[in-house]
Amino acid sequence: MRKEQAYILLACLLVITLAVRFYFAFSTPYYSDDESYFHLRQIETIREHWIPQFYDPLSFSGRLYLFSPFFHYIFSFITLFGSSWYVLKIIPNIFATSLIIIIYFLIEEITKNRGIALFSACIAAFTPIYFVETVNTLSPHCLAIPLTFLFLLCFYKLREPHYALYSGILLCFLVLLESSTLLLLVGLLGYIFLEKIFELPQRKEEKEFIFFGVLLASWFYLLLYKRPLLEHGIYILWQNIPPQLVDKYYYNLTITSSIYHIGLIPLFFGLMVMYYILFNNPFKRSEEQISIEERKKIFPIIGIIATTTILLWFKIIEWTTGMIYLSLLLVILSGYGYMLLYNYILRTKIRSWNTGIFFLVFIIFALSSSIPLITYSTVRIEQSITPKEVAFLRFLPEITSEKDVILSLVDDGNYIEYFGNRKTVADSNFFQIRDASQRLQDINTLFTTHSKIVATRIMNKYHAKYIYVSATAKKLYGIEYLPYDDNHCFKLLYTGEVRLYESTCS
Amino acid sequence: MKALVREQHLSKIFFLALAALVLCIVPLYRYFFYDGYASQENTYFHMRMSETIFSGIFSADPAVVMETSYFFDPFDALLGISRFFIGTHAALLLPFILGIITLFFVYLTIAEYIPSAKQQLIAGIFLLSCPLTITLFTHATSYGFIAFLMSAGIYFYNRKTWLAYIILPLLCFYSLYHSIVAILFLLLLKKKPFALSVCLVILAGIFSFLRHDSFQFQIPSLLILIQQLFSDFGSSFGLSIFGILLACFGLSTIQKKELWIVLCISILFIFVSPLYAIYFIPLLAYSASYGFFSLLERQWSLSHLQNIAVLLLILGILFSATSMISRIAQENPTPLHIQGLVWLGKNIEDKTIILTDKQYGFMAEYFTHQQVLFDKNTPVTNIPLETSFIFYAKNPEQTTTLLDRYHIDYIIIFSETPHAQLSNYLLTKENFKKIFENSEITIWKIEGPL
Repeated sequence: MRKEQAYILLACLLVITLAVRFYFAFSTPYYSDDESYFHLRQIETIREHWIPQFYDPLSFSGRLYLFSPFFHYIFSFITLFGSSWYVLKIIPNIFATSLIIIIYFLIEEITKNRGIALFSACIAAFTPIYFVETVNTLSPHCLAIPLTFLFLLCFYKLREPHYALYSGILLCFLVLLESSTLLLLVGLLGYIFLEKIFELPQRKEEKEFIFFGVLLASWFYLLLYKRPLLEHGIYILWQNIPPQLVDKYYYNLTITSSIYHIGLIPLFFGLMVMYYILFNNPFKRSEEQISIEERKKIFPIIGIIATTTILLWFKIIEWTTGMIYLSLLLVILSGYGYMLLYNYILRTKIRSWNTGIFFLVFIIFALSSSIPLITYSTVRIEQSITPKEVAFLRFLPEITSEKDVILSLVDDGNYIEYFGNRKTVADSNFFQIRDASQRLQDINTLFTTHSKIVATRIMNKYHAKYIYVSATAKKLYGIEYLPYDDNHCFKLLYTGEVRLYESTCS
Repeated sequence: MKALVREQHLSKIFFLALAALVLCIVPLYRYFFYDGYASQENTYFHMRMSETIFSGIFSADPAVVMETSYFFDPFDALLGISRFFIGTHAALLLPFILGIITLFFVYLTIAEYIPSAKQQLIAGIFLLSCPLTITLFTHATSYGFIAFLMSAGIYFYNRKTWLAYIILPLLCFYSLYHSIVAILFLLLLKKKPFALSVCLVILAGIFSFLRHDSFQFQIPSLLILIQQLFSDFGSSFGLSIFGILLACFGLSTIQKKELWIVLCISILFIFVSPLYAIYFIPLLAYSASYGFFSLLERQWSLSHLQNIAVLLLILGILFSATSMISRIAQENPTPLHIQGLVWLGKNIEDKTIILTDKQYGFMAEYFTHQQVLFDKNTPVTNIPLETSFIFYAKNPEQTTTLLDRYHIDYIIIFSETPHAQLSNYLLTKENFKKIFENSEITIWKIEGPL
């Protein structure tokens, strides 16, 4: 395939991907998760005051939360000259789609085959987990993931001085953006380990760069997370998520879920390549031998895959983050697999069926991935906050005072803080919260207890004045009204799609 | 040659000055901002024992109601003697003095195996910047004294002085493992320590028998072990990640089989208890000095990263050390704890029993001079099960069982205690009175049966 031809097709793929993404993203004016609204609040704060809000007066009724604000600064800058909600939906999708170009060049670098690179880029564009988790959310993932793979591309060419510089700059960006960079660095350590096992010649510059990267990331994160590390110790890995909620973020890694979220084709070809590279017989005929160069390009990816899988298996990294990395890395590996298949077919009598076979592979991918992609995306879009809820939350400042604390479901916390601008008892970010588990337990008790005394005691404990019962809370607890609602201690102030109660007893 | 001796002499002086500077920060801070009260709860156990140790021989701690055994600790005697000369600030000064002497002995021992004065000084700086060193010599606990015995004993043994035969056997007052580590170190020095080793093994065995040591230990999970081993992950008795990284780098350049053997055995001891990480400190300083010079002298392909990497390592090591200093300086007891406990000490009647969380038992005993029901040294099997009922009981009878059975007169609740909330039943009783409260400590008095 000619270069121009490939580029035109790549541009077409980009346009199609963006169109599909925009279709889903604009089917609701709101984001699919509450965490996006935390980021949105930080972006707006930076735009107003030039500094992020490390002390958040609303979250958990006031808490200190240290994080790296690099992502928020980038988005504040982008939206500096008049922002609107659609800009903050378009930009993350553009960033996420840029991954297609990077994957294309990455696979072209490994396979030296433009057709296969384009084919793999197409698969990467519609990998279910990546698509769904970046289509209608505002999170550092949309920028960190493409940059991680761009870093990998530069890492391959580390021998050239300007690529060493680009790698350094990218690494600094990644470290500032998201702590999942540690996954990449640990994976690269795994790569060095694999090189040792297979007695491959090690490049000095790669070892030096990885050593530097590990030092930089460790230093930065130890500095940034010093306080939480002292408070939670090594359990910081689980972000202080209460045991009751751990299963929501850290699932078991199963084959079915992998097929569903990664896709059958990348998973099958990826695993096949891993087997081929790691267990290929070195005494085979020379034409079937894998060159050292090829191994050296595949090993970093295998290193990161192995690390991610181990960490996912032991539930040390968040399931979504781990699966996104795993799926995209398998897409790259599968690119090498298509090349092996392509070369194999060329050596057989069915070489003329080559296009047909690849078309069949694509059909299988489309069938196996499109169903989870569409259903999963639709479900995620449906999970977005409804316009009625937003309308009510925007009305909160009119009926409550600035000092009032609102008790709600953990998942509704960020919505109340963003739309209602009111203090909450808890939201979904438990980092650096000492009594996170207790708060969660109390919220659960408040929604399930029949005792007015117990409920009042909980409300007083957190100095909360209102209870917000969202549609999600009603569904979760199977209630329409609070069980102890008798207009004496808990006065129903508003009823509709959501309910608002006022606690009047002390 | 003369220049080398002068260089080595200067590096020793510089090291001593630096050691004094680093180790004096915490005592000075405590002196000026905490009325001279030392940090860490365990310190107050030794402070109390140093007061009572010369009053008689006892096998159980007299300040604890539930049976808690006590075995003579030479450190308590030393602290008692220091109190005689220095006064109440002995808990601040003794660790400092012990620290300076110990570090000097370790420095001299390491220096014998490092050729250049510059590298000796760098090893000394790594020795000083290790967070565990700072912890050891700012807390008035036996660990600092054990480190002193070990370093002085080995130094004198290396010099073939008879003092080693007096100092090293004192290790037998502590766990058998310390004596084993001492023998290992002596073997590493290749001075045929047969007689001393046999003597140490026999004495340690006898003392272990007298102490009824069980030698049972539980291997913690890997994550907990990692957390306990690194100060950066919150351990107050841990090493610096960057220090370890540099030491690993140095180890790869040192081709000494004996060093690897001792290192492997030391790692095994860490599984017994992370407290044995104290024996890593000299090894760490020694290897890190080699790692540092190897990192500086190595020709990097990406030369622009070399200086940044070295700078990051130095900053990382300094970060761990400074972070540890600031943590220790602000450790318990806080001024508000002291305020509450001193107030109780002045207003308490004689022969009363106090109930508090076992973590704070030592402080309560020291400040009030009264008995506590149990403290941190009380075996778990001796702690009454009903204790938890005070906090969680739904049944009023359960709440009062413990208080009545052990005639408890005071309950001290510290704000840091998990679930520090008394049961509702107790709070409604008229003869259960809150007599003192600040934001960190609440004291309740029980007047008569509930």
